Amino acid sequence: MKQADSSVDINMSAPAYYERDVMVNLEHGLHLVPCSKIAELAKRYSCNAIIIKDGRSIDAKTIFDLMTLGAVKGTRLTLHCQGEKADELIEKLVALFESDFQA
Amino acid sequence: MKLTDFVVKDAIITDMSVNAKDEAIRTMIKSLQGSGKISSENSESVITAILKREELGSTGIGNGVAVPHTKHPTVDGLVSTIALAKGGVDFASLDGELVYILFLLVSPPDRPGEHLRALETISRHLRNQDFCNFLKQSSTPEEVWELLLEADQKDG
Repeated sequence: MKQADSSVDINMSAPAYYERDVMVNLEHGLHLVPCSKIAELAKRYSCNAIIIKDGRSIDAKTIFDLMTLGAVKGTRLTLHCQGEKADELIEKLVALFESDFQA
Repeated sequence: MKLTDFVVKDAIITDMSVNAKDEAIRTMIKSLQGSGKISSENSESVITAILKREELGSTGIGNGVAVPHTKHPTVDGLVSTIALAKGGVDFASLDGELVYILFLLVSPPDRPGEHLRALETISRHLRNQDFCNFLKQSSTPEEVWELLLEADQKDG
């Protein structure tokens, strides 16, 4: 499995923290179907999952929040996951984006 | 983007009493047809497109809210209406709850950015619990419209 390339362990006692950048390649942007897929996946994990766009961060487990990103094709987003199995979740989220949500 | 830019005031329904999802969508499209925003010859095709979109996954996104939508070549610009169903509609929502507020959106296929911005605007307001509560309490299209104007104004 590919290791998170920019993962940073904040300190030894805090749960592992992972960060990755992704690009929205969908023709119609991050519309409701991909937002649902992100939220469904993230909700299966107990760790935190946050998506950041232009400095604004939203909860990846909430479809309402995801929809407010208004991320059109070409938007760059940053994913943050921290907590139990955060490494696994971030890899799966990155895979969703890289497969244009066909994964 | 402002709600009042694309919601059709004359098509707002504040007392929708239906049992099923397809009935709700049909009622809302007929209301848009009544306001002249969708022609009678195209309305069945729009209804079919929205129902087909629902097959990909319910647009009942939780919190008692649904945002049925589609892109359709027969509209020139964004067309939207709101329906309030006081008794709730079974929309096969993601959280399993009934839906009380429906925001239906039809947009031209060649403007995906606008479609996304409209959905973003709708979602942003609907995640505000006060907005949802006031919306549910509205009993006339005028009251709903006032609320939309107020929300747009606060949005700056």
